[in-house]
Amino acid sequence: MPREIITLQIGQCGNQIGMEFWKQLCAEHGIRPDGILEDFATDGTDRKDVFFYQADDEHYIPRAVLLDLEPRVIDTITSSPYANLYNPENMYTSKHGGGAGNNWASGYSQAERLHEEMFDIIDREADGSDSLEGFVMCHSIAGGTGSGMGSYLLEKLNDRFPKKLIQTYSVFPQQEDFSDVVVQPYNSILTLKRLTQNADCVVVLDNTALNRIAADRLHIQNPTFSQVNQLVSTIMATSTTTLRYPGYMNNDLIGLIASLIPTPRLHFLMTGYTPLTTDQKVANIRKTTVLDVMRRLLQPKNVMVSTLRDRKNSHCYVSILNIIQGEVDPTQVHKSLQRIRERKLAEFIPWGPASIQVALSRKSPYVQTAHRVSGLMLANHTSIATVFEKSCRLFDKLRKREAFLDNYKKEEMFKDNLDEFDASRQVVEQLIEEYQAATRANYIMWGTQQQGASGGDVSKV
Amino acid sequence: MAPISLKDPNIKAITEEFVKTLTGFKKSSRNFTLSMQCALSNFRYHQFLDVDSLKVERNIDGFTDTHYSLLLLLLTLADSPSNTEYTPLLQEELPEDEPFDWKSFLLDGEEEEILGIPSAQYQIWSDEEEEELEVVTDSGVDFGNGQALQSLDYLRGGVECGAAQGEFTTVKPRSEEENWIADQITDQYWNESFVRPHNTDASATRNLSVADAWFLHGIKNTFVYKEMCQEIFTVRENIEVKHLTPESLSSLLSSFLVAGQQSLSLQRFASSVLDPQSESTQTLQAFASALFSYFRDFKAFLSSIENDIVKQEASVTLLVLQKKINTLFSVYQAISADTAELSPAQRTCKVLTTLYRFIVQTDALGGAGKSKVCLVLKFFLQTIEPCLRFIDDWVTSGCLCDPHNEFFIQRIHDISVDSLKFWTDGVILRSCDLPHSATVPCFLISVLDQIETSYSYYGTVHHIHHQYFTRVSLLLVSLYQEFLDALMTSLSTNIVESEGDYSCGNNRDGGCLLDTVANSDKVLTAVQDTGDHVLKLAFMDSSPQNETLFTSQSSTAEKLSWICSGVSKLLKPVELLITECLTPLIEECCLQNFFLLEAGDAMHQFYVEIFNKARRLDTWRDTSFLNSLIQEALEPRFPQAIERLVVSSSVNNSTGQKQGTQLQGLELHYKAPWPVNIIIDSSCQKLYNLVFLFLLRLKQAKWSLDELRFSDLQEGNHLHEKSDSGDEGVSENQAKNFCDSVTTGQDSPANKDLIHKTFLLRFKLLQFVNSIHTHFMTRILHSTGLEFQKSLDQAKNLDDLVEAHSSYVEKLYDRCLLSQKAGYLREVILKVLNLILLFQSYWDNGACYLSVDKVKKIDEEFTKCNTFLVSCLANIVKRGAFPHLESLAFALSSTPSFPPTS
Repeated sequence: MPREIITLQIGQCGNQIGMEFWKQLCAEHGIRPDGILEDFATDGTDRKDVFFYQADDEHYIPRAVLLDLEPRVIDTITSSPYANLYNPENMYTSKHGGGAGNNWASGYSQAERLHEEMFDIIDREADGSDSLEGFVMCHSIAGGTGSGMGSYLLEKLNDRFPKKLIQTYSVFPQQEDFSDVVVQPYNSILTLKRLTQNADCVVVLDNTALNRIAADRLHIQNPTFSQVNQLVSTIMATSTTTLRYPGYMNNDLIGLIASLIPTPRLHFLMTGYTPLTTDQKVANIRKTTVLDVMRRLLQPKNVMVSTLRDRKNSHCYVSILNIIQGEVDPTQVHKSLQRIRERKLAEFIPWGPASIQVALSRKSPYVQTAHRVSGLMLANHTSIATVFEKSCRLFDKLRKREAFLDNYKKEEMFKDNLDEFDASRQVVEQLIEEYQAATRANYIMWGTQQQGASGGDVSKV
Repeated sequence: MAPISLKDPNIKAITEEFVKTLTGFKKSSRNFTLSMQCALSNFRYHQFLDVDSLKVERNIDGFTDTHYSLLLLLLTLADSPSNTEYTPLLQEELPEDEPFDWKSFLLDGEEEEILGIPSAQYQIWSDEEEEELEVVTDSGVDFGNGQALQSLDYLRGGVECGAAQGEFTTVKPRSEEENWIADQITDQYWNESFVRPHNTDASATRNLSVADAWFLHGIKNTFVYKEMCQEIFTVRENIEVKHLTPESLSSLLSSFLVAGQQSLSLQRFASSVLDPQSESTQTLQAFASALFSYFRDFKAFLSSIENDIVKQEASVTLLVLQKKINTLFSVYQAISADTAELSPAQRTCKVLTTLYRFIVQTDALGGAGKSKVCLVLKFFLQTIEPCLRFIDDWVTSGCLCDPHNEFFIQRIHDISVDSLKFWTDGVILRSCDLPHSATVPCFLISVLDQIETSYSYYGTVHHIHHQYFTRVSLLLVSLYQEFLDALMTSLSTNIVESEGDYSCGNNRDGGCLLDTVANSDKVLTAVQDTGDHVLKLAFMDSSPQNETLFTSQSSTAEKLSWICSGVSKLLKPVELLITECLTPLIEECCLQNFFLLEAGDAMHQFYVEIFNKARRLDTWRDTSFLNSLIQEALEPRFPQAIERLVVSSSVNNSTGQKQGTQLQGLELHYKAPWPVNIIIDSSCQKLYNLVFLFLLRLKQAKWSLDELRFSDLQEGNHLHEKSDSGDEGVSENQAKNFCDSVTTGQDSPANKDLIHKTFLLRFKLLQFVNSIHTHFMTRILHSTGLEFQKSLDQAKNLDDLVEAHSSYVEKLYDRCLLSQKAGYLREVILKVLNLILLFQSYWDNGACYLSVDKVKKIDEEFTKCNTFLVSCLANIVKRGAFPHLESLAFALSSTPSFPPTS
């Protein structure tokens, strides 16, 4: 009875990330691109059944659902060496193939129309697992399909599987770059509302930071999609490593994320990963010790979210979970924690315990890495609010001019009015407020200050 | 052909001659003229112009067609002698007589155990021939009669003494006669090249020497000696040799007589031992077989001497041979002296010890005894083989095939391998009442203990898992191979060295050295033929040592050491085995997996189900339910553990659903398989269970908090969920009424405030329980596990192992704060864990049951406990009493003591 996790890949970005993720998982579990287990991996003690199931002929099939409104990316997948890995019944591209045109509303309403088809697949996958733990969704919040269809799915999954966890890996758009999608602030805010209300945990992958890390840390001047996506897949794979390599520690997804999230809305996590090299052969002069890894994880330059300066609030960590991979002696972990504390390398919330949780995990024996120890940080940091603030500011600018709203008004949801825009904006505003409140010691009394707030901040219907 | 010029007058004359010779006609006859004409015409025009054969025929009397055709042929040939077409007769392609390997053809698919039969077929032995042969060998007196020998010459090569090759256990039984013949034949007599003496030329002296040689062969009746009575021989009386006085002759002959007698009895001993019917021990058989092969060479040597004598080409003295026989005989006597009442084991011991002592003593004599040492060493090496084989089998495979009870270690079969007593009493020395020296060959005493225990280890390993076992054997073989290679190189350098010594002109040792080198080479080749690794090892080991022994004039002490070192090298695998047997034991200690919840996934499945039921206050104590639960959980990854792990639940108080004592009574029972139960006894399991229960409560607390969903507090929908999750403490109706009454206040600021505070309390509790959880799981279980692993790796034997494990369990027990002195800490932690369960139940009941007081009370209690723990731990850490608690103290102290909500 594994605690299965179903992965939903939505839209162009989601499917690209997903593709890299499955590549990574296959490599780590010794599964060939066609789903057959490599000979050397037959007696592994890893748990493949969390993310894969076995067909009658014993070959492994990802518990993945691939959805898109245009066939381009899914076609690339089906013509890649991994074409036969996926269950073809789990791939769905819209028949007219026109995509959502970077329009959240179009994506949302198309998803509404495709409800039956989508949930046929999802229900089948859910029924096919013994004790489903939850869903992992990969998408971007800037485009049309990932944001619109993703939002729809978040709402409906919540209805249909109220007890199941929903974790998302959400790619946030480049903050300085509008050349791609000029309406991305609209899409972002509309999606953020659903991420706030309908997801249990959102791992924020900031394209700004990803590109910065690729350029600064990996020295790639113009990082390609696949190079950036490799970063993302590394993070996704590592964050699930304790589920796939069982040990003393957290053996379910909820055990991992529960302690990171203090209140319903404060569930947006940043990630950091070190050491980072895309090319494993690059000669490395680093000495990777546990302390080294844990210290580097706290450095902002290794964090995959670019936060902005906020003079009004002194942002701090709400909670940190470090997943350390490799041969590590637990006593080293303890020493490193002490050192971090002595040097005050991390600032914590004033109203609660300052705890860095550390989970030790095994490494895949089949993937050669240049480093003895590597680490992933999942952190709940209040400065994530600045990312939302930026989105709000951009949204406000567009909204004030009522720009590019015609396409939205074509859809059912915005036919009569644009209330949904404002409601979403308000939810995001509340989220920002709560994060800011969490930086202060009186957050404990925050409930009483929230008197006037509407009931709209109810998470999880 | 150039036309013949008929002008040449010679032509006519030649033709005349030709015709005359051919036909024999008279020159004057008419026929002659006609023939002449015919020939000439042919020469001239290449054909007979006036062909009228009928006419010729009529006219010539006696000139037949044959003549004519002959003539024609000759003429035609003369025409163009080279113009012929020769078509050779189509010869039938006879298949070349390939040497067909009938043996392999016939033995194809047969087991290798028939190795013992010689390479040629025995079918060619007809009864007749056998008789003849017997005549020949038996009545060797008539050595002038070589007919029988000659007739059987082709049998040469067919007879190879397979029996002497050292295959004691697998010799295929052959008919007695065949055996006898095979054993008694001296190869050289079957050689065609052997020069048979001729009666007529024999001189008496020569005959005498030959007879001596024959006698030494073991032939009973020669014309020189006669058998007086059983095995007593005398010199026949009427023997005279012209150039010797009768006295000197008889003294000479008697000395040979003695030697011959000895040779005879040695051979009889050998054949009696090798007789399949005899129940002689393998060691004796090995000894006899060594004797046997020695005699074969000896006989070959004798026959070559005989040959020389007969040919009168060299002067030979037989006295050298006498000495060698004498040496062997003295050894034999020492061995066979009063053995009657000894047990086989003692006898074996005696044989080996005698040989060994003899070598040691003779070697002490220095150069003088060298040839003797050389000789006896060879015997020793061959004789010790069964003993080494025993050790090898014993050590590597654990099977002891000792039909004659000769090995000095005995496995008590009454004690089964599974029993606990096996470890200590399963293996004993034979005849324990006697001193070691009586049963154990003196050179093995030092390694006796090692050999003995190795078996117990073997049994241990073997019983754990077959797969490990095969891995071990694989490893062993490769080790041998490595070892062998190393030895080979060292051997070759040794030979070079010793040869160098020789060429340096160390004359004194020279001859002997050469002998040794040759000897060791021989031994080596013999060894290489046998497949046995250990045997090879032993020989390889001793051969180079051998040389250094002779070159360096080594002392007895050195010698003792090399033999012992040879054996202890042999025992290397034992040490390897010991370490190898640890690995499966560690694996077997999957108690870690279950009791200590290392197998997170499987155990998670098990306990979450229980927690779920406990949360809903369902009954979960049903033993069959629990067992099926754990079986289901173990099935995917630990199918081998399913049978061994049993859950029981002693119901202390069925109604006692007081929070915190819920899990009390739950117990895991692990039926440890045999060798592991030495280590994991019931008292150990008790400790394990206590740790297990503690960890389970920890996990339950963590799980309870993990599973809390914010939505359950924020909405009134918890009731719907509850209704399908079974029984509740409060009836639904009641709850609804109560809920309705407070619904009005749901959205009130106070309520919001309360819920928010509950969230934050959850967060605090979660951080606390996570800290504790991480501390115990990583700092305690993981680290202690690593420490245990280390001490396991260092453990040399099972006792170390038991020691390591029990200290591991005690450490765990201690560090999980279960011991008496840490009791107060444990109590506080358990109190918090109980608080958490209480908190969970409040949360589950929904917001409407939540009250400021309840939350406040939990918060206050928790803060008290936390503060207490932090200060306590700080003190402890300051004292440095429990270094492992440092991390816990650190983790908890990071929780600021913020005031409880007021």
